[in-house]
Amino acid sequence: MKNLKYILFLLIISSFSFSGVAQEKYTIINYNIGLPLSNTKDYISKTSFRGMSLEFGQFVNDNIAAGLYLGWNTFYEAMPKATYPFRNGEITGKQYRYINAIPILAKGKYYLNRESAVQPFIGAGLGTYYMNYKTDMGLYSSNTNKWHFGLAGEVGVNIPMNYKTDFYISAQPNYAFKAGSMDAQTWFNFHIGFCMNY
Amino acid sequence: MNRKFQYLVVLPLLAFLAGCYPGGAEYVDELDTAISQYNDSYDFDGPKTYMMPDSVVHYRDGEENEGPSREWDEKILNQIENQFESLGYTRKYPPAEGEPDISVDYQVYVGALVKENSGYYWWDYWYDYWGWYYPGYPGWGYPGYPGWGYPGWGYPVYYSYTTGSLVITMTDPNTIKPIEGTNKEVTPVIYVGGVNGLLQGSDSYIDSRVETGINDLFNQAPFN
Repeated sequence: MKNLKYILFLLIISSFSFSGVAQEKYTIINYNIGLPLSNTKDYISKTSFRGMSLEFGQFVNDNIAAGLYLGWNTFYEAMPKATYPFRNGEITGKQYRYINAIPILAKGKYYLNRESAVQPFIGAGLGTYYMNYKTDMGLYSSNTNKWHFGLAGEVGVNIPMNYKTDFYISAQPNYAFKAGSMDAQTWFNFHIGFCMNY
Repeated sequence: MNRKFQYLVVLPLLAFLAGCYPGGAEYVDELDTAISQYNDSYDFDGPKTYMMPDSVVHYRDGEENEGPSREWDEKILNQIENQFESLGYTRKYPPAEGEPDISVDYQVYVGALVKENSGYYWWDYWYDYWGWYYPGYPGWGYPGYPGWGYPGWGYPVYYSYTTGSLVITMTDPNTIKPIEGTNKEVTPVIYVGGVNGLLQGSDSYIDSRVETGINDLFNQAPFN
């Protein structure tokens, strides 16, 4: 997890120094809400209100943009005291379950109309999901880190507030494919934030 | 892009890079566990007979504790005996001198293990966890500080806690096997049950947690 933090930090800082072509660039910063689905929901059923994302990109023409998306959501649930079976045994206690999900995606977007007061878009992302799974039970803790290949879609709107800043809302389904012993993970993100154009 | 704004964007990254493990246990008893492991080729359904010593074996930091406090021994053994009785087991006692040996289905042993855990870790990453950090058990006050440490260097954080385990072991004295190459014998263990937690809190609090743990063991397989 610590190496990942170094890599992400360097990626973000280096993305600030986009140079050269005078095409419109943007930075999006969002508050993320994560709604677990499918396998993710089987493990942790509660919605995540701990998350954020950053996106750096630029327009390649009037309607199409490409960029890099970095996100993070923490899913957490305290399970009631229960008994869990294992081979030739059982354990009783309270479990505290965590998933830290960090998507790192190359993203493309298509804006339907960039002249209107509300600018809808659709997008897609492809890349990797770093997933940290942690279960605490009693005085013991189990921690697994996996890199999943994954896909995301996105649909949302930019609402310009002034010539530099847009209000940004979108919905993004995420699908992280199975990785090793870890099942595929699925969740829905809701983004609320700002898009800075420059 | 405005440089000042770029740096402002970095600020929320601090929370992002920290990772996040919110919540967790708030009270000591939320860290208690009961765990059983058994040989599934045995039939544990009653009626069965067993023998059990009238004292608990005490260990501290891996060695037998010669002068332990035995204030809970009788209560623990009574509770275990009552649980076996509810399953249809009958406790037998060693014969008096001169009387013939008694055969039983199982031997039951009860041990109490206490371990002191202490040491320190170096908090040297400014973006490290905030919130409860392992082993940030409730009731300590630190190292569970929210916020940030010092960049570039750090400081040691000392921890100390005591854990206790109650272990119930069942063996089958009718399947004693010799150890090859020695003149010793071994009795296979067919069941091990353990109650584990922090030794923290008042006597009555610990007493109730031990009672709950033993009940949990007998609500698990193979007894239930």
